[in-house]
Amino acid sequence: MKKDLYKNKIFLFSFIISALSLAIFDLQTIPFGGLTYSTCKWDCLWYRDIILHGYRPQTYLVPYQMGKAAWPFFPLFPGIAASVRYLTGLSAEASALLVNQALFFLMVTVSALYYRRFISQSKCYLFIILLCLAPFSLWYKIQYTECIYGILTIFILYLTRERKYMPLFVCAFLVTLTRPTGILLVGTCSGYLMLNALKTRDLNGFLNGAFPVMIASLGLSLYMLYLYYLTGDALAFSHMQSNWGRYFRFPGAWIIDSITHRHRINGVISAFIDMFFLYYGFRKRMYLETSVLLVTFLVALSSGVDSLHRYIMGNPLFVMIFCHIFDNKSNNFRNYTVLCLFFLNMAISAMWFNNSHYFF
Amino acid sequence: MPKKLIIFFSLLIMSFDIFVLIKAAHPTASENYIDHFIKKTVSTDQYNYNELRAANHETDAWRFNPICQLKHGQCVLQQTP
Repeated sequence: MKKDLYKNKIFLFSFIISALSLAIFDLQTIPFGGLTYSTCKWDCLWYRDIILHGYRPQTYLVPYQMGKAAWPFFPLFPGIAASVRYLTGLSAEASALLVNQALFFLMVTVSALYYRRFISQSKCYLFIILLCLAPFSLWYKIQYTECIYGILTIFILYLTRERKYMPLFVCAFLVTLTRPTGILLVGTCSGYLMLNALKTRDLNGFLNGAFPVMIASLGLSLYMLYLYYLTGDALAFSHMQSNWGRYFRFPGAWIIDSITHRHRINGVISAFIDMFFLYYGFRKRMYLETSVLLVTFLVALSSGVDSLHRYIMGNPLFVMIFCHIFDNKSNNFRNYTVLCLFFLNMAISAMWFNNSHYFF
Repeated sequence: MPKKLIIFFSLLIMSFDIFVLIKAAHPTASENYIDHFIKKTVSTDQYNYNELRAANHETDAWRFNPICQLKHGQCVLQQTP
């Protein structure tokens, strides 16, 4: 009874803070041309293209988009948004925004419940406030895949820890249809399950632990097969990324390159902040969560420093690690930090609405 | 899930993955692009690829970069080496 009451309190608090955060964010868009227009920047335009026209076999032949196509953008998010658009008759941008902002409530609630159960009971409310009001929340509220990916990440981690295999298989399949890094997330969780099964010499547990990777590979293979019949190249999603300047190099090479050429310095700063928090996560014994972020970080960094901040900081697992900086700190320190982060969030949102290229 | 079922489905998925990997190793993209662009009748009158390429030289990194050749009045795309 007491447990249920506590759970209901978390539900209610998550709902209120998410709603407040969305209301502030949505009101902030008014001077910048309205909600759907001012939020839809950068990758959102590619999702818009997929929602409206599906994946097209041709590349763009216009300046600035020369030789580019939407193939690196995986189909789950634009697929759901296209279904919402079909059902509601909204515009492509509005449907994508509706999907994300509706899922935002779910993401905050499931992340909070996961945080309370596996990380810390005492700072659950602080975690909800940071997840909703800190600058990391920007990408959950716009037409990007962060929100849906965040939900699937939390579900996968929860199901991995609870050894609930059937729903884990479903989530593993869905996450590989959301982002290329989905298979890494599933691979890390599978590795965790397999290692634990090896320790207890449980063959069935080992096979069940390995199976999510197989299911994830199925999702990726299906998309690759689709691309093969669409473009003639099953790896078109990867090859096309070089048009955005993304191709494989040793992770450190991109940082050195950015420093020597003095460009994408924001990416370098973000890489160092991420490295600090990854180290901090391991120090705080959040092994599974930090391993997932570490694998994502290394693979993202091997193809450039662009968007690194989004891949790592735009993940609820990062906020879970971030909350640990308030361990053994005074209430004053906590309150002032939260206030500063809130104002920083307002500033970053305004920069986003002004087409800033620092946060895409 | 029972062991036998996992092994059966794993083998099934692995066969499918291998099939897709074989397809990935043999892209036919250059032919497809020719088809799509001929269907779209992208002619050299409409696009000057040399100018576009010069203005967007970063696209050279893409291995299926469009390279225009005049063939029966139409623009044919080639796979870059």
